[in-house]
Amino acid sequence: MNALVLEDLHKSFGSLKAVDGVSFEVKEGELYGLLGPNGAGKTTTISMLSGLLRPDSGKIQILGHDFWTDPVRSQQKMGVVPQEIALYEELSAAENLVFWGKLAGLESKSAKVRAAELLETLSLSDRGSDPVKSFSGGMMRRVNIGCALMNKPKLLVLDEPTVGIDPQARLNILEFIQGLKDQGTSILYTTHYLEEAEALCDRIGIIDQGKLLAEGTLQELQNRLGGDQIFILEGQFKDVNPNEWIEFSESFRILKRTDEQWTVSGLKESHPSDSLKTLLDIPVQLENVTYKKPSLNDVFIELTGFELRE
Amino acid sequence: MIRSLIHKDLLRMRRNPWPFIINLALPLIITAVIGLTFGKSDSGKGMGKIQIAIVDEDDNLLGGVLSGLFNQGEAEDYFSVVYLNHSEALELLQRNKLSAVYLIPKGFSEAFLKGEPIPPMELIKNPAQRYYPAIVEEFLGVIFEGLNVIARNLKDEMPEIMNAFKEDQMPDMVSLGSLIIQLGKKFEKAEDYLIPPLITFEESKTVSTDEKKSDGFNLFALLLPMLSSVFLLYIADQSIRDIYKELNHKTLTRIKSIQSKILPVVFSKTILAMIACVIGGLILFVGGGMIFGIQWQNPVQIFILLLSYSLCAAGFLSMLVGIFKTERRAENFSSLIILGIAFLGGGFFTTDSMPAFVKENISPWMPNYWFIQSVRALEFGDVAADWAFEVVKMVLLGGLFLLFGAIKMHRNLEKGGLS
Repeated sequence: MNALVLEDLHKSFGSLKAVDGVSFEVKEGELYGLLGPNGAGKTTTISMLSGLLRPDSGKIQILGHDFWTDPVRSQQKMGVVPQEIALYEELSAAENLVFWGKLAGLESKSAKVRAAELLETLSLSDRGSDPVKSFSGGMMRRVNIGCALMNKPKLLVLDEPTVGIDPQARLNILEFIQGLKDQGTSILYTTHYLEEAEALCDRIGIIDQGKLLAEGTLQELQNRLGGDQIFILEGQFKDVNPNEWIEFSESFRILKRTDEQWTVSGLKESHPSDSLKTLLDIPVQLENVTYKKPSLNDVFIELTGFELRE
Repeated sequence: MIRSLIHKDLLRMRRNPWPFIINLALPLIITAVIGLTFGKSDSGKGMGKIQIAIVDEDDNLLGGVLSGLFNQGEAEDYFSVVYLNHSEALELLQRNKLSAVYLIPKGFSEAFLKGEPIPPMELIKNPAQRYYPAIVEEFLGVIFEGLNVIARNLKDEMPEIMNAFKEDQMPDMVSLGSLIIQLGKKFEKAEDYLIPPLITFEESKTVSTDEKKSDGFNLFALLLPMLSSVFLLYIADQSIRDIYKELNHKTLTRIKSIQSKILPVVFSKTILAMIACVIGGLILFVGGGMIFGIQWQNPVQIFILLLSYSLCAAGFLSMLVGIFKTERRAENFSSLIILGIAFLGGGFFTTDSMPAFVKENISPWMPNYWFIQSVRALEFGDVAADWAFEVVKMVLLGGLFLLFGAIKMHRNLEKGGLS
């Protein structure tokens, strides 16, 4: 059984199609990454599957049950970590955890026990009784995640949980999420950080302008580029027609082109030095050539024509 | 769920009590400032004594009698009299140590007894005080009325009275006896009118010894309910508008992602506002009572009034937040509306001092007016208000406000800021 199924989800705000026919599923125990730039439709998708927005059309199933048939029942089986730090800053970490736990249906006593467990897991036991407003950004983020884990959800939805924190704190959070996945929690993880998706996710869906452009494992997505070599060529490419170069056309695909720079992927399984020889034979004087392994960014470039960071 | 929400908000309030404390401290401070301006509390025995100075330039029989009236009978409980010369008295008055200076002019007794034009009396009032000098003026007015009656009716006997009490001499007993007979005859003529009197006052109610004796008028007891009614509205406003803080901090969104509905949150805020008002009101009335030495005569009725007023305030403010939709608008307009209501309902000044149109046509529609008038009626009996009826009015109106406000707020939140 899938932990989450989205089928042909649509949501518009006036004339703006925020989500346009998005479909994907998160299998049980899987960590699925939804990757896309800001405004791609990630948060709208999450808002719909967590009950904040009703979709215009489409279907959402949480652990086999239609979400909108009984939203509260579905919500009790899942945990949602919002992008913002949605905590009461005057309250301590423990009080926040207990409150959100009670709201998720726990009895007061079990909420306190669970809060103590989570503080331990989140390495916050010694600061549990301190007000959250005295915490660093990374610590707040950890409590923010902890609040969604109080009811031991089978499906955890994380909306960009590492935004605005330092690299060390981010690493801690990523390790914690990896730990949750290892314990069997199904996770939907949205991010616009490529390296997070690459390092963490079992499968990745790439979303832009409300549409899911591609999905698959990192390898499957990279295979879309046709090979495992990427070259960045720098030179004068203005008014150049690469279709006239037969060997180049058979061996490479241009992912992105400007007058000064081309990003190309190798289509044949050849040694990088052989590919480089072919590239140096093209009738353009190259000023610099960079070789690298393909990344998700290259996949993104191939799908959208621009870099994710743009 | 509502219990958890309220518990959480009360915890937050405890952790950050300053906004609440400020709204409690302000009415106490203002009450103290205004109250102390008009006289210190006298350990719960009502107003402090009115400080007056008598400058007796007459230094004669009648002058002595007049100045002595301030020290006799019940007057002694209300006036503290010092005898000074003119310059000393004025100096103390300028230093705000006196409420008034009463000057008995030289030759007053002689002119009065001879039936000659009396040199004008002088009452110098302290311009920094409002009520105390007015009380002195009223008191003197009563005395002068009495003197006028005597002067008019005993005009013929006055020279003889003066002769009988010549300075440095024992009264002439023969002329005194004759004078008494004359006065007796004069009174005999008025006997039919005076004995039995045409109009009598018979005290019909006796107070048993174990019944609590009223402590009389206490200015603080008048001011505190007035100012409390205002600042309880601010407390309610502050509690209700916390929903915007939840909206901005996305905790409201998070609640909806867990519970699917936010109506309980809206209700929890109105209940929180009511609880905050009741707690605030109790602190103001009990604490204020202890600070200012007020012994509330009807604490149970006042508590019921406080409960109903709190409901009304919470409902009213939730309605305003519902109507104004955005935090900014609610913040600006609610404060203005609260101020308006405070003025019109008698929160800052008693409605007695307001223009007739406001007093008769607007104030009686204000819930704070119902609250203040009811407390006044219960404590002083100086206004006509049926506290139980006012409670019913406040509960009904508060319930309606609350329902309307909750529906509006819920609708606004669902439409707007949650996604």
